[in-house]
Amino acid sequence: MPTLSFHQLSKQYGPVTVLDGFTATALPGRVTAFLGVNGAGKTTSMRIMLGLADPTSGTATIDGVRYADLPHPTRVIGAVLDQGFHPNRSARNHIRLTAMQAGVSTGTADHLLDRFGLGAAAGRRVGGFSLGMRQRLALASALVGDPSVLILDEPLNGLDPDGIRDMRRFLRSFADAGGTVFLSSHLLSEVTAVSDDLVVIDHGRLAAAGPVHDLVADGTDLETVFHNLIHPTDTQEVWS
Amino acid sequence: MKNLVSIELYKLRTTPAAWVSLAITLVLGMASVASNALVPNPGGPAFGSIDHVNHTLSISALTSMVMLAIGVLVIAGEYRHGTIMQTFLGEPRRWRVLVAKAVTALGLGAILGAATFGIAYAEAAVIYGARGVDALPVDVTQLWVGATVASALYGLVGVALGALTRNTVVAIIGAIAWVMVVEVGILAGLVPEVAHWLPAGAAIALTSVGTAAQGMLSPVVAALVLGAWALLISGVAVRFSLNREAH
Repeated sequence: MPTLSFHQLSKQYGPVTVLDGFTATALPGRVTAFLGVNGAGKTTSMRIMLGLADPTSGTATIDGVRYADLPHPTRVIGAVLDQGFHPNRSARNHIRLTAMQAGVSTGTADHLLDRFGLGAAAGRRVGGFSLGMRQRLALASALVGDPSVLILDEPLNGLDPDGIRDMRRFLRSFADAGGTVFLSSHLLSEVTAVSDDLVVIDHGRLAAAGPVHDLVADGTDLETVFHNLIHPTDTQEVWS
Repeated sequence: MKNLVSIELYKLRTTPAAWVSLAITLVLGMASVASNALVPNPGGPAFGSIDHVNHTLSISALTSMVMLAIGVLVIAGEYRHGTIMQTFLGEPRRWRVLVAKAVTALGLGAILGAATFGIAYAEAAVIYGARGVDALPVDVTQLWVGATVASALYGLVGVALGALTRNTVVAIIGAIAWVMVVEVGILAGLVPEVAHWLPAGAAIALTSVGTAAQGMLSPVVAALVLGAWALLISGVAVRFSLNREAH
């Protein structure tokens, strides 16, 4: 099962440094949460890992191989970023299209719609879907190639409590089966509940990494740990 | 590559835009043929003459512009809806995606150009035949091949413009404005010897006979010139779009 590795990853957009020597790993059989404030470099790191952006320097690899060099990338990595849907395409046609891109049978795609509770809505236009339904469709699409790695950017956004619980269970079972899960989220309590490892990024650099139970020790909650990592000198309550 | 072209065709047939464009082309094309053939045009060419038939069959401009729009939609539509990310996740070697889109637009353009001209010719043959003109006085093969080539190459130009602009409205309006206003409206009147060598001038030469073709490039040269323009614009698109980030 593959390991994701970011090594000395840097990314400049003109004068703006988004990533500055970021180094981290996500291991198989574990759910790794990727935390950071908005603009810290989470999405850019994920996009570089998926070949959607080029690094200025450094590498992002899957078992030492760049995404673009994988022969059938979506059979290795399933990704949920903010990729869009054509509003006038049905869910069934969308996921069948994803299956064609992965080179797998469209029957697999139809089965995934049922598994994620979208079977009844398969013929509907995605433009009429709720945010939660779109998230489920995005996850179902990511799984079409039966990948061993999942990269998920804010996968819990828009999900209702049942959806969050289902997602948590799914991610846990995926990792327990040996898969590698790398997900970003702002929902720290949910992250604590589902993750084995944490990677915290701040201003494009690694701020902390390790097992959740090592970082969240002594009864301190993740919110406080995260705040102290990102704002070590801040002692004021902003919204008191 | 075959799978990538199949994927592009699947994208087109699972959204309404391409079907609506095809329906509009057929309806307007057939209406145009009937109107050009049957509505009297005082001072115009005599009914059944080569210039009259050429005018009746002049639907290639419509087909080519529709194909240009479809070519734009093939790629700029993906940027508009954000589906380009899924496309590049499935095939991270972007040049292969661009080639597949270009091949799709070329093939679809050729089929659309050939089919619409065939329908137009059949309709025209019935109309003229009913009024005593049994054999149309034009080189049908030249016009048919010209319509096919022009439509295919305009599809390719559409893909290139879509890749360059990533914006459906800018690409389509910009291309139509260039053809109708700059080339046909201004340059063809001011400097016709230059306008003949531009994309619209070459397309007109490729799809016209009779007086309309006088002074224009020969069909073979026109096809080569239009092909060269399509390749040039495609080259610029490849140069400036391959390494831009996909959002």
